Amino acid sequence: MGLANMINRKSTGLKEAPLFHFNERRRDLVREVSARVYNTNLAKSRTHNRALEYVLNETAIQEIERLKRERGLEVEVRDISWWRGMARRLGTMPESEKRSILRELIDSYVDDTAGKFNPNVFSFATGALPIGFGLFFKTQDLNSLGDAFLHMRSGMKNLRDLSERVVVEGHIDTMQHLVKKGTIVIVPTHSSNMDSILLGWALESVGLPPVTYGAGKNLFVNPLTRFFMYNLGAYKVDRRLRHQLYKDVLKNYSQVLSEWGFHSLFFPGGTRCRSNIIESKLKLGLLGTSVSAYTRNLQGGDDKRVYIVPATINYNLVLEAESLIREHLKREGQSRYFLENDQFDQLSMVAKFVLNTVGMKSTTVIRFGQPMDPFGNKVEADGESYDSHGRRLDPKTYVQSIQSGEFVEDAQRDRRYTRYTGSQISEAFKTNTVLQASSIVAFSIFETLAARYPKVDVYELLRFATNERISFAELTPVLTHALEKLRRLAAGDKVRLSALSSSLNKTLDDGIESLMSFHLPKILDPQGTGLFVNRLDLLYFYGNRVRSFKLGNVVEEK
Amino acid sequence: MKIATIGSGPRLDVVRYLLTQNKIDFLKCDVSAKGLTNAKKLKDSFLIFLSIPANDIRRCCDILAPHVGGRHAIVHTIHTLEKDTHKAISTILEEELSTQRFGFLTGPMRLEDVKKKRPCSALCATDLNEIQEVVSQCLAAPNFRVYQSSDMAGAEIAAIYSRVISFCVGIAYDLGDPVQSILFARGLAEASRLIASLKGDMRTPFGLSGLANLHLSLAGKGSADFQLGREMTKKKKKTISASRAHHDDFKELVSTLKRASDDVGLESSILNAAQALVLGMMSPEDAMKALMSLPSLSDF
Repeated sequence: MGLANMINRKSTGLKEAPLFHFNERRRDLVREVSARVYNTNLAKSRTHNRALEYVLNETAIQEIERLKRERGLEVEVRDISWWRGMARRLGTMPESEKRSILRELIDSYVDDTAGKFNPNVFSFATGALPIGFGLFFKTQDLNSLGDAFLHMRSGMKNLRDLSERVVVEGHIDTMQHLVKKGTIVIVPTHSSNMDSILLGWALESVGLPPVTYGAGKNLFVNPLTRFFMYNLGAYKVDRRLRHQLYKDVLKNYSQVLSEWGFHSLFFPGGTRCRSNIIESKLKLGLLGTSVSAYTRNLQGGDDKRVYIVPATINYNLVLEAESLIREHLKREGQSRYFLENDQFDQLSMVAKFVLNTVGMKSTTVIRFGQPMDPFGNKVEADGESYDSHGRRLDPKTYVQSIQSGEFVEDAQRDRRYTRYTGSQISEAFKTNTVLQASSIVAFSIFETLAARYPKVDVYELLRFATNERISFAELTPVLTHALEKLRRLAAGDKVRLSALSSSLNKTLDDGIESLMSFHLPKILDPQGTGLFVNRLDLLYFYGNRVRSFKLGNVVEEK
Repeated sequence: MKIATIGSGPRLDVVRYLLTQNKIDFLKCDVSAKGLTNAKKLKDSFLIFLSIPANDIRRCCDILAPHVGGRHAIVHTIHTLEKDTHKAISTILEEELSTQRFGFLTGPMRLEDVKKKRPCSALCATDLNEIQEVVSQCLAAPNFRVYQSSDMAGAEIAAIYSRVISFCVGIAYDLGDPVQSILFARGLAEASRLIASLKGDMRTPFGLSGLANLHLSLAGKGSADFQLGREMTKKKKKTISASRAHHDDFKELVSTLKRASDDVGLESSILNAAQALVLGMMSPEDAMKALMSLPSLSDF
């Protein structure tokens, strides 16, 4: 369903959404999170008399090492000299001072993490989007708008049609019921820095309330993005900090948000997927907070449910594709968080990407999967949990002690639940993936070329196979076979195909059109009765979406 | 906390005896073609000991499912895999029931020994301490110790493998003690490799679920699997036909375990030989010759 058709469905009760009352509760939220983290650490010091010293020392060591290595534009909670001074005095520091330092440190981290929500900014931002894509632009880029701005002006007509280019689908009706019954936690796939903004816009456009989400602290550096992020409920996640104290802060912050009924969003893949393979290895830390939040609410006599909603964001083209695949190939899977010269940081690239996207026939599809409870059971619109045979379940029983029946937190048991839910999310990512023509065509071309060099592995192929030409006669049977296999999977609800994949010709036309736009040099160039391949790495990147489904050898089986 | 026992079997007999000795009320349920007795009362029995034939497990789960919620813990004592899927029983329980709390109870325990208050042990394999605690509590007795393991999948495989080795030892019984020792060591090493490839703990077969079960299966007259091996060597066809049901069950068990091993690409010589023997494709003499002529490998 196109967004434009959905505007009329906007809920009139949107202003009742919990996030609209965030500012009134911010101070209490910060205080609560601080107290929990502090008390957990204090409890450690009761069983081990040097526990606080160890916590502070470990934090200081990691921070000193980090600050020696990197000096970003991000505001630091404490500078290196403070850490050095504190670490030097730790050995002789009285216990009361250690507690005081720990308390202040935790307060600073929590305060730095917590965002705000400004209803006026929300109204402006949602009204201004899709033009609001401009908020991605870095201020230093504003002086160099140049050609990109001229192109933007000429593309404004198309920009206004952006809502026609994005389809929001899936279990939206169920979600509309669930937001009234409990707290929803949206867990989407992650390909681009555009994801959270696009999702925020999509939610609003189908009458769902805004959600709070963790955004990289680097996105708070430029004044414009900081203004929007900070006032739209985003909280800061500083991925450079690896010490346990900060992890505790984030985990508790996420848990209290869910407990207090603030709908939220986080990316279980952790960071943008470098390879474009559908994420299967998920980070379960934040996911686990949904079990804790639900248990704590039950302990307090409140049966407020927590619902997990998997979502997929299916772009035809990914803005940051080039840097992501470069990073993937360089590290072969070992991700790092910050990419230099990422396309997302370049105004002209963002503008060009948006203009190209709105000009294409194909659409970006945001699909919300079947919601589930924190134990991985599916949830229907009535807010109740059901097993795989459709039998209704009582989620409360999952956190009851076998013996006493009391609601208890059990780290070992809850980790098991979270692992299971993680596997269900991973499965939902696949079944809710909407494969775009660009991915199917990229996959087919790459596989055809790879078959020419059967003894060469992917990395060698990417290094050596340059300036290859592929004829349509060669490509068509491979594409036909890939489509047949994908259609069989789609018939079994294992994947979804975009509308433009309904026929071979449409897939081929749309796929080639997409792959020839935006990226420079163009991924493909038409040449007589075939195509000239300029960017094999990007074909590999886009084809990886299809490769997630393990189709087997589509070339030999033609 | 109420407890229930479902099905029948030697280990479940031990559990029932110990519960009775400990004056713990428990619900006794039996499985029949019609269904499950006392099924509705299971709703309040949060610890369930289960021992039913593997080929009946999904039907039984279907009957159980409406009465089992997230608080229930299911501890099974079944030493086999599902025929068609080669899945462990705990995996099937996880697929079919809504609870996620499971355990596997095994180990060297026989009712006759427990009744005579001879020292016995059980292993409760589960990834949840909570289950280990409640099982240990309800089965506690002066001469009965419940050990713990977090490697449930590994313990299930080790217990099944020990049955196969026991059969092989029965086959090789007349060839002298060294052959039996070799089958012990190499058979458990095979089990270890299979468990490791299934992401279990490779040490598990050398504990209560593997080594201890195997040792006990050879004591006295030996287990039914050991006896089957003996009978096949003696070629007492009448005797074999008298235990035809067990023979068929065992054939199925070996073939299923073999397929599970093939699924992960393992070369398992003892398991291959056991399969060939039980299917009548090889004589015991030829099987031993084949095993003894394998290329020499490192012990570990």
